[in-house]
Amino acid sequence: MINKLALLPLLLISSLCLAQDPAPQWYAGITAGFNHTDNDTLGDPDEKYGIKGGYILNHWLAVESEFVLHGNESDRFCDSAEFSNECVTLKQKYNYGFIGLRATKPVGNVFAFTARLGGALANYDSSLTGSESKFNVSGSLGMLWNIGQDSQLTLELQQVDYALTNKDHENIISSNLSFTMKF
Amino acid sequence: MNHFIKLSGLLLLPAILSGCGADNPSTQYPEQVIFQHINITATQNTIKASSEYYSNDVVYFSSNDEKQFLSINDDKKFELKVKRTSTPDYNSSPGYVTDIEVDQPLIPGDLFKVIFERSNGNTLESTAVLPDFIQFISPLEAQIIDHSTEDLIIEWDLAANKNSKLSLQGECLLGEFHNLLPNMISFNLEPEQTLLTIDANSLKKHYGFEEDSCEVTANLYNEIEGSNDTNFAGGTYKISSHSKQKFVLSNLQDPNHD
Repeated sequence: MINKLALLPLLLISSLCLAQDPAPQWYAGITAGFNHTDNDTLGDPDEKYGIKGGYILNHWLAVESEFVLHGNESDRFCDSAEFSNECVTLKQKYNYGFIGLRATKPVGNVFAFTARLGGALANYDSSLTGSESKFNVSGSLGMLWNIGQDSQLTLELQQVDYALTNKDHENIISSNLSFTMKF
Repeated sequence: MNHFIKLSGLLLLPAILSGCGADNPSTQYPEQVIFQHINITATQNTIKASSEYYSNDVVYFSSNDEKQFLSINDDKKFELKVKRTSTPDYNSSPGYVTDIEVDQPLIPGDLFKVIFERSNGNTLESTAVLPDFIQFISPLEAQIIDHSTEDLIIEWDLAANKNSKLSLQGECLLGEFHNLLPNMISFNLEPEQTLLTIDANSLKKHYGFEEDSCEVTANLYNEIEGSNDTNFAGGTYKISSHSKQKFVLSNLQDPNHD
């Protein structure tokens, strides 16, 4: 974990050295998405929404940060009717904060492929099992659309690794649509 | 065109990723949403044990990595059978009951621990102590009772509790239709009860039984409740000491010759 974190500043410094355009540009925006990995009855969160921002290092690389909240999940689990009608309710909350690098490869003047790689501090809070946080590698891959001089739409798949109480890894894959503006 | 192919692959990725590594969902349940039900019956040298797990309509056990054991006094350890199905199964099957024979006689106070080892490394322990074995005072072992003239008096030394059970089982007995065994009759006991009198000539002979007498076994179960591991959502742990007494009943009422 510490090793992964230590790599980030090195990457930043090396990227700055490679920068061809010395004028930095900032960007910020909103993001929303939904999950594809709700494959168990525990109920991974369905939708997510958040804010993001970044600093453009050069024409293909940026440092990006994001904070995302997932919709809360609530599920009831009941005993076999043969024994009792007892039930328990499991309420779950998910959120994460991401920091990492975003790479962009233009395809013509309007579109571009984009990907990002970094670490996400994923937080999971359960009404029955308590809360947990875990910092893990997180990545994404998608397409970017320059809809104006300083505004962009990004559609991408994101992976965030959550640590559930009973599992080492819980990879949530989601489709995300983001709108960002440079300033 | 090449970009569209790449983009299509990108959009298919979530479906591919979602399908990979799928396990039965119940293995992902935290124990806090699982209900455990244990039933143990012990004579002095045998044990019948079952331990079942439920969460909604899923019978919990589904992973070969998850096992359960019965330990006695933290010394002897026996593996228990498990249910591995994701569909409701409300009829206890004998296949899910583990029969155990022990070398040394069990005694009241023995600690019975059901240990559930999960694939995530968590271990849960539910505990109970074996209750006292009830001693029969009457009838005596191998006593012959002429049921046409004598009341059948069953007497024992420990007061019954709300969970105590008494049953008679014998080849000649006409059992109750709701019993799993055709030659078994069950009796409800009241708390503090230590005696049951069955009036003479009230028990009926089973259809087709030709002999005048047969060996009957009286079974008394002294049941108490143990404690499920507090990490479970809930459940039950029933443990009972099983005492038997064999005697002979003769001249039962014959329903074919009324």
